[in-house]
Amino acid sequence: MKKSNHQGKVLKDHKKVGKKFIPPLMQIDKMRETSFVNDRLPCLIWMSSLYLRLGDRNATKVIVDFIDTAYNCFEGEKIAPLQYMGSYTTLSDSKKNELYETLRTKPYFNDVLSNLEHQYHLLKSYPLAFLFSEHQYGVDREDAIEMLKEDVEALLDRLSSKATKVQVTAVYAEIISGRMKISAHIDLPDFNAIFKAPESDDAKRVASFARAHINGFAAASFLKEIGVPENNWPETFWNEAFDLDGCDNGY
Amino acid sequence: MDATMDIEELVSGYVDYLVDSFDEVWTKVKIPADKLEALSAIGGLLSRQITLSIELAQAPSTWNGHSAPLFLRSMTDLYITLAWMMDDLEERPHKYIMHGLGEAKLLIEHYKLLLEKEEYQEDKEDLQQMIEFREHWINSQRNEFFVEVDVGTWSNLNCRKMAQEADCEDLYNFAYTPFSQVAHSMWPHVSVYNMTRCKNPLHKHHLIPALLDVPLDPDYLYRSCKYVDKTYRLFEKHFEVSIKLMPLDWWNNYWESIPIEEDVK
Repeated sequence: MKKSNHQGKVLKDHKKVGKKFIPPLMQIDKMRETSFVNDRLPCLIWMSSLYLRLGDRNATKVIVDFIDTAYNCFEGEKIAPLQYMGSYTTLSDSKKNELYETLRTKPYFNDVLSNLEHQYHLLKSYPLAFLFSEHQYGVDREDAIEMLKEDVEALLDRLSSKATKVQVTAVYAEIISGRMKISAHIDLPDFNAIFKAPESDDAKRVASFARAHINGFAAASFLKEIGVPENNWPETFWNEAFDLDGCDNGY
Repeated sequence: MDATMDIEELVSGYVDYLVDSFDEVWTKVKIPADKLEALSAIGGLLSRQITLSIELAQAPSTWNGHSAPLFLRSMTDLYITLAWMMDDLEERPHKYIMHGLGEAKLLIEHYKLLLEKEEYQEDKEDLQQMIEFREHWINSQRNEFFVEVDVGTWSNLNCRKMAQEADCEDLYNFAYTPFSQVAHSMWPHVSVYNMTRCKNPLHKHHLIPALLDVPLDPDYLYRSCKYVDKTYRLFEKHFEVSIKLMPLDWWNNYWESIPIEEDVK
């Protein structure tokens, strides 16, 4: 059994302020609380859909190339990270068009569209809507809702296998595209460990690194300060998603 | 515990035991004639503790997480009050009684205010009767004009402090507090007993209200028995009362005496 650090006193590591006991983390100046589900999940549902339906190997390749291609289109511009779908809402029409023209030449383009069309069909403010300008599709609304539920369910537990793959890929794509630089003295394990040996210590370290990076990014205030546009896609997504289907009490 | 247990037999046996043991305890308590107030307060609380346990026993449909804690919270509260009171029979029973009289006096004042309001004129007679009844109740113990109203706690301490002073802080932490969450419908209780997770991931699996069935659990009656047992031990300690059969001994004897599984009704 793990030894407690109570030493005969409850909340020993908390700070008493009036009648409140403040936990250690909240005593750190500028500490901010972030919510993966509220703020990051809506930006990653495109990836979870691809992982669910293209298989791990294909999905990883497609996602990494998609993000790298997008970054190359906007070389030198101040743009929000493009692994997060909400960032695409801040692009100008001409930029969206430029990206669309580039992506449509990719061999995987139709795979991307056919596996995201249920999201496009359901979500009025879908950030990747510009990809569907010429796409013909026929999606049953009820089926689409079930598929969107699967996309979201896969991410709700961010420690799950699918959610880990999505988060690690999001960070990996950022590194591959050169948007994130890792100092040489940081000894990061092979990112493939999450696929090859998901229970290994290396996989756990990679997953932990990805989660921490995503958390830190969600709380970063410097982006706004350096002129990177913000977006309200996460809030919009949850508002739209809530109205798609009623509560399910399981009765 | 077997689902087919004979609840009726358990209840009637337990209630009979409580009635008998209450008589036994109270007849053995010797309080000096100059401490009649203490006698009244302590005796009333003993009766209340036994009554609560009897009422809980006689309503097996309440032996669940929705209802039983309402009884048990009251029983733990009573135990802490009694334990604290018994450490000073000179002052504390008096404070307890006077505070109660003051509360009744304040209630009378509120009723009198209603009498002045036009919308209550139809109820005037009923209100006057209630006022007279309570005035009579107060005056039977102390002239109302000598009754102070104290809007603080009767002991000038909160329950936690009383429990600390009466050496029953564990009961406060592990029983009184969680049962209080039920009595006050606080989130730790409501979120578990009155809500379920929405299974729609598009709603982030939020909590939604639900009318949940919870199983009958005789363990709640056991806990009630345990609080009576603790109460009797206070009488043993402070009044040197010797009790023939303690509540928990009765409980253990009962379960040892019933037929094993295949013979149970």
